[in-house]
Amino acid sequence: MKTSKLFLKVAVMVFVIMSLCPIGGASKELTLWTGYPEMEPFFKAAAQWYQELHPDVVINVASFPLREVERKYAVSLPTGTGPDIAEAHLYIAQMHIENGSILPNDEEIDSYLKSGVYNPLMVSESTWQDKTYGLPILFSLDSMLWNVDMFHEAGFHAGPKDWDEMVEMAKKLTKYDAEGRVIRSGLDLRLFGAGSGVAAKWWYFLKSAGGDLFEEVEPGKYRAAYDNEAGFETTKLYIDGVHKHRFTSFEIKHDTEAFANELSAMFVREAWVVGYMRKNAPNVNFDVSPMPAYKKTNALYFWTNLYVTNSSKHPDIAKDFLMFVANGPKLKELEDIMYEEVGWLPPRNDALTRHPDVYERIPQYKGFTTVPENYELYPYPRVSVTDEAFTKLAERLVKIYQNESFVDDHDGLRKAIHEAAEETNEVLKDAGLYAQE
Amino acid sequence: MNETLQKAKRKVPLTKRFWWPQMLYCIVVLIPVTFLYLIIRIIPVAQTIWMSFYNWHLVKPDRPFIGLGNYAKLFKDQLFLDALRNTTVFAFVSVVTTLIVSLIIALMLEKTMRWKADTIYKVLFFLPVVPTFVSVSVIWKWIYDPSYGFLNYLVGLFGIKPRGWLIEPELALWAIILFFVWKNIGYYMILFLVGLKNIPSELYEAASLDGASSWQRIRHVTLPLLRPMTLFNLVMATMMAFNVFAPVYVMTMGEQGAPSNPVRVIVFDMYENGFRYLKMGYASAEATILLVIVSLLTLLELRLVRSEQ
Repeated sequence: MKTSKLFLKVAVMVFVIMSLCPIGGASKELTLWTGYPEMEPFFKAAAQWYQELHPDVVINVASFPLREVERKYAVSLPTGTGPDIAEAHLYIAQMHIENGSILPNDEEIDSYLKSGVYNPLMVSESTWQDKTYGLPILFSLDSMLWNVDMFHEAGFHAGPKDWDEMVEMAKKLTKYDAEGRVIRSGLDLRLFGAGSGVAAKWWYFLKSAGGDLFEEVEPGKYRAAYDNEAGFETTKLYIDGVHKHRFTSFEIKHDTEAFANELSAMFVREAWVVGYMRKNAPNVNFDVSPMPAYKKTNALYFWTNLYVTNSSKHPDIAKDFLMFVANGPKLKELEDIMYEEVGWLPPRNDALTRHPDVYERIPQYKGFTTVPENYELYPYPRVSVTDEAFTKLAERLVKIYQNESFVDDHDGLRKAIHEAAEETNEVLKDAGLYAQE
Repeated sequence: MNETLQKAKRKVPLTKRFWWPQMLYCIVVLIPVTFLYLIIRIIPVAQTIWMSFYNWHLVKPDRPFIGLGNYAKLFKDQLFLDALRNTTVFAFVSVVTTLIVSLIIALMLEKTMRWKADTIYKVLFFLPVVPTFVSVSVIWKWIYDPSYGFLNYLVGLFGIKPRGWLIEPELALWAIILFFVWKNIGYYMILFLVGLKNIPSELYEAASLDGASSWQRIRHVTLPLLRPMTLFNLVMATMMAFNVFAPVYVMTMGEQGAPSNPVRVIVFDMYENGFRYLKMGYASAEATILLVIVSLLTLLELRLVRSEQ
């Protein structure tokens, strides 16, 4: 009996002492979530250097696959249980901005964003209803990566400038086995795989052909913008590529893994592939050139922002951290991590002044940073149903690509594209974003 | 006699048949379990049904009541109808195949392999049940890989051309069914073995003395006495098959994954609507329909097997 009373007393004392002493001595703990796991070393270093300046602040970094972090934001931000700082693309952030789950920039961040340090597109797209949200954290142009050795072997010394050249090059670069199977894609196109990826990759070419996923018919109201010649020509590029010119196939590996394994001669992607190749395929000799032109000479300007959320108990510290990352004393060191480890590029216009030799060391970055003359830049669609529209369209595209009869059956192909566009319009209608005829 | 006893019991009120402290003890003991069951099962199910009547977007604060609007939309939604068809095919084929194959293996292990190595076989068949669906799905995704997959290598030995098992729409669902059957056979085999062990050997001996062949012994002794276990397996397999998600999710993930429409099942569609497009009300309507389908099927199976008994 005495023993149990003593035990009870000790337990109560321990409980009281533990309640009074904050664990670890840090009084302010913040969380940062990113959907780009390759950015983790960057954010961890930033958090560590920030803590050196502010010993009472701990910033915990957690990275998740992109789709997972989207869901986590969706569940946590509206309920105020999200991270203090969220990294996201605008098309994900937009609904949280509209919902008030992401805080607008304060005066300091706002004026810094507009100070001319960033591309004007980043500023305009970070603005909603006269307020700015977040600061850009990474960026890249979408460009064509090509295998230098394979190109030299085929007698080419530069990336393709336009679609015609791209197709001709792709045909010469493709290799087949004795049974006629493609064993090396001349041009790797994303032909299958779930999710929005198939449609997003198709969309880069669609933009070159003069189409788009949505067109804004009136403010805030949209319609599918690919049920036209641009949509037809883009899809035809894929169908001919697989069934007529046969410069790629369903059976062969695709995307970055294929490029790293030298199973493809060229493909379109962002700068993070440079980081991937340096880590996984350092011996592959590759270069980067601008997106091949067609009806339009343009390229996707991709970036993500770092936001302070409404879930934060310490929004002032979170905002201070944003400024620390964007313009703090460790800016050069953080940018070094991006160039050397991550692959995504620092978003500031003046990054090269701090890293004048980066193109000499890693020349591939130039193709992802430098906007060629006459190139028009376009951002990712900011409409909240972009992912749904892309995902549903992707499923239809996979089916369309598999239909060999579309090589000659142009009416059938146009009908298939029309049906896909109808579905996109349904998605818009469902969200109340459709522009009536 | 039994009927008289029953009638007598009915006449005595329940409260008088038990001593009050016993009743109180039962209630007190059951309260935590009932409470947990309420929290974990009843409330979420009720809330899902309730949400299905709303245009409930996970992020948007405005969630208007739309009555049966989600249900009406669902039956016009081609993706949902595809998912319903695929799930039905998936469930029917996988349940029938799994139960038949696992029963055959159980019979073989029980009757014909009365030697020490049968334990090794049991372990081998049960092994796929042990790891999680996700981890084994990743392995099978590699097995099905069109470029480096083991299956294409295997069929290549017989002169069959390599196929995109997960890519080709007409093959993808069957590829996942094959994996699902392989994964579950061991589980139902063990359950059938338990059922077989409970059949008295005297019945087989009597049947043999009467001149029954092996098939006749299975037909007239084993199968009728195995009916309770078959019912249990049938209900469990049906529920598992209708709720299939992990293999479909894993095998459609990433740039090397299968396109999801040919393998779209209800839970996958539900997941996509709820957690990808954030339409919780719509996904809840799908969940409610799935609940109704599985409940009806379970009732039907119970009734069918019991009526035969």
